[in-house]
Amino acid sequence: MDNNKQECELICGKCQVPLQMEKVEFNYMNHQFRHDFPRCPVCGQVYIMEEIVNGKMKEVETALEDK
Amino acid sequence: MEINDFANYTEACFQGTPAPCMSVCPLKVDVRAVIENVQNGNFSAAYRLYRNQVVFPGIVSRICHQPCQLVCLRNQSDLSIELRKIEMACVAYTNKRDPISFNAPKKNKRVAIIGAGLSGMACANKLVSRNYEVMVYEKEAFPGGALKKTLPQEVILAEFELEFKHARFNLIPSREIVDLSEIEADAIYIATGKNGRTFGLEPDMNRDSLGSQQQGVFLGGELIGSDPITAIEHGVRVSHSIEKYLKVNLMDGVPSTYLKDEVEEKYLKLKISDPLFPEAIDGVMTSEQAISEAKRCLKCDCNICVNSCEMMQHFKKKPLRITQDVMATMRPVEQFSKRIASRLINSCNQCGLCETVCPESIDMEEELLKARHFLFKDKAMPAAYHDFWMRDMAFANSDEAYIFMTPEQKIKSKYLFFPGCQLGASAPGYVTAAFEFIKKLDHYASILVGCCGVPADWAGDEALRDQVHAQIASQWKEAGEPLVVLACPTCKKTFSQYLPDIKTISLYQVMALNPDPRWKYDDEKNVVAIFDPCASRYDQPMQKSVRSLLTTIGYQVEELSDQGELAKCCSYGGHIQAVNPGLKQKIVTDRVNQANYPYVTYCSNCRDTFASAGKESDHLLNLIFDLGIESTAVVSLSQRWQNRIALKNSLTGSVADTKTVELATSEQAIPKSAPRLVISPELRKVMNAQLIMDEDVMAVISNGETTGNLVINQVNSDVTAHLTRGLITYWVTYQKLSDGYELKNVYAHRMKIADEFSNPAAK
Repeated sequence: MDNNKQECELICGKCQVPLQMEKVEFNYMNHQFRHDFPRCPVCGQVYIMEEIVNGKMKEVETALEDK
Repeated sequence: MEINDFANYTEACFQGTPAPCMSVCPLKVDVRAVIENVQNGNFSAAYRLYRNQVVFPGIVSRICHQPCQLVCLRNQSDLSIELRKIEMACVAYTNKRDPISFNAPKKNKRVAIIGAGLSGMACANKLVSRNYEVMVYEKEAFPGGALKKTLPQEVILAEFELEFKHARFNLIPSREIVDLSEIEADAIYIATGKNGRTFGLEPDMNRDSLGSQQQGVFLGGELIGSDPITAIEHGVRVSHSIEKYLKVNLMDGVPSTYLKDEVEEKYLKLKISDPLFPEAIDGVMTSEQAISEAKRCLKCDCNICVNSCEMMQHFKKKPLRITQDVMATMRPVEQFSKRIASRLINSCNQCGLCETVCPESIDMEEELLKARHFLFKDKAMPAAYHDFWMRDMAFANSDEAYIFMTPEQKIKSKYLFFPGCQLGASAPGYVTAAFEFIKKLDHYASILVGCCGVPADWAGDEALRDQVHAQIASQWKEAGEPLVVLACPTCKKTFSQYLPDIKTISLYQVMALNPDPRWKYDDEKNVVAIFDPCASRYDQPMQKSVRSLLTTIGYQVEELSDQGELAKCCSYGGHIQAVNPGLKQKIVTDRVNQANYPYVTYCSNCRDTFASAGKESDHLLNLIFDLGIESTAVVSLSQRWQNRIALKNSLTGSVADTKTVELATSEQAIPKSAPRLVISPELRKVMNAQLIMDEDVMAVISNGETTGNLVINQVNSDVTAHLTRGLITYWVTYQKLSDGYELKNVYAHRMKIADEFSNPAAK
């Protein structure tokens, strides 16, 4: 995932530490799922890039809405 | 309304039923499919379909009496299709006519057929292909029966030889059967032709299965009075009846082989296109001639609604299928079936064109609206579909934007002006100028600026819709039950549907009846195309008034093809943008490409939709009142809210100065101290398309800046913040400026991040 390339360039504004790939939990339309995204190892802040939001994430949203 | 009641909506739909020619064809040739192939020059494929039905294509294409021609709808405007000649061409231009060789398991049964005419031979062909042992007794020296009188013997023999190539049977020529006891067989088909021997079995025979009173013995063909083509059908039918008899010992045949289609009279309601006479051709057509004759065929089927509706085209579904899917969506079986049509139900523009064009007046608009109500009640409506519009409606009806003004003195208003919620959002000047005009007719006119409740209806929320209507009704009573003047065609449609006690008239009709010399006259006599909003279809006086107003102020009016009662939705209707952005885009593109002339419309949503797509389009009120709004000016979502506030300020202030109100923009309405947002036109487009407002962006940034929950890109120092507001999580990437923020990117999703700011390292 492209998030991999980016994570080392990204730092948490609050904790001033680089983001790392970690599991993030999501829910939508009564479904739960997890996926790895860059997030702050200290405070847990998450970063999701636009390509994922308007790509894979939109696909999953659409699939769940049609379920 | 019960789920099963939804089936009633499309009960009368006859789409996909056999066309008249197919209903009357004794051999049930699939004329639509055959013609489709010929139209594409695919003679072999057409031939296969034809052969499967008629058994002996080389014979039938020469002798068919064409009952199809009597019912061909083409007959109404020119001449029936020369189907038999097309079929001859299929035979002539199919290189490899060999029948398909079947490999059915051998059956241990023997069938005797008396008579080697068309009927007996057709029955033999079907039974042999299923691997029964077949004996055919023929009293003459050659097979063919009565055919000999119409066709040369070599043609008949060649055709039989071809069609029995892979299906061997025993033909016993020159053998006349006088008594059935001469034959040893498990079943017998008597097909001895016109005036042939019946062995006394015709009385009391079953005319459906063609079985006689004697077990295992069947009769058919010209013997019992059929024409040669029906004789073939009898042979085929008896092959099925015999097979059933041999398997289960019943003589009643197979109903699907004898049930007849009646000609569906609804087809007669279909409009036939312009007359197109066939070429007079003797003998076999050339392939080009056959193709062009096939192209005259309309392949009669009713697709009028589908041809009028981008939504049905998008989902590739027709009303009957849509109803099936809608009903399945309402009762999904856990882990088994999905809410399959939820997106389709919410992708309907609610324009009602389908009902207008349908010969049976099937109302898919209502069906899909009721389905939305059902989904909402069932808590199965994906909330994000209508969330933006529900917030928009709540704002329009909030204290910040809602206006109700009656004269201070206790004088009854003659008029109550109800401009709707979007007109003033598009530009306050539309409303203030129109109200000024109405005030000249009735100094004590009242005004009510709010939402008509249609977004709630479209979102399936009937209770909220009713609540809005109750408020409108009560304030109308408070104003003394005046005539309500409506500027928005959709409000007008909504009022007549849900508030029938309130008398309404369109603003444009009032204006056309009371022209004002001060209106801006177009000296250049420009040509404009009128775009009738879809909701205007139910109000011809409104449509007429708009045309008369435009002519009055000097414009030359050009009509679009989809006008008047055939008006189509601009894409805004039904609030499909969040549900089906691709479909919305397709619809807008279709609409703006209808004509090169600038559009004039009288629905601010149509106007704003087209302007956003780069099409020059004006609201009629802009031209009449000379409001100076550019034809391609795009109003951002945030500006719409600010405009509503500005409208309220202007109307509730002492002086209604349209000029100052109209110039109110978000920059002016937002407090001077607010940080500046720099948004590129491209990003603005993305925000409008994804229904993201400046307020959302500002909320994300200020949340990030105050809490410090930001992600910083060390390479380019871009800052990204995000925030969930209601159902939507917004992400903003920006650069800080001295007096505000420059946006680099904005995006949003519906999924919720469940475990943010829980500390994973601490776990």
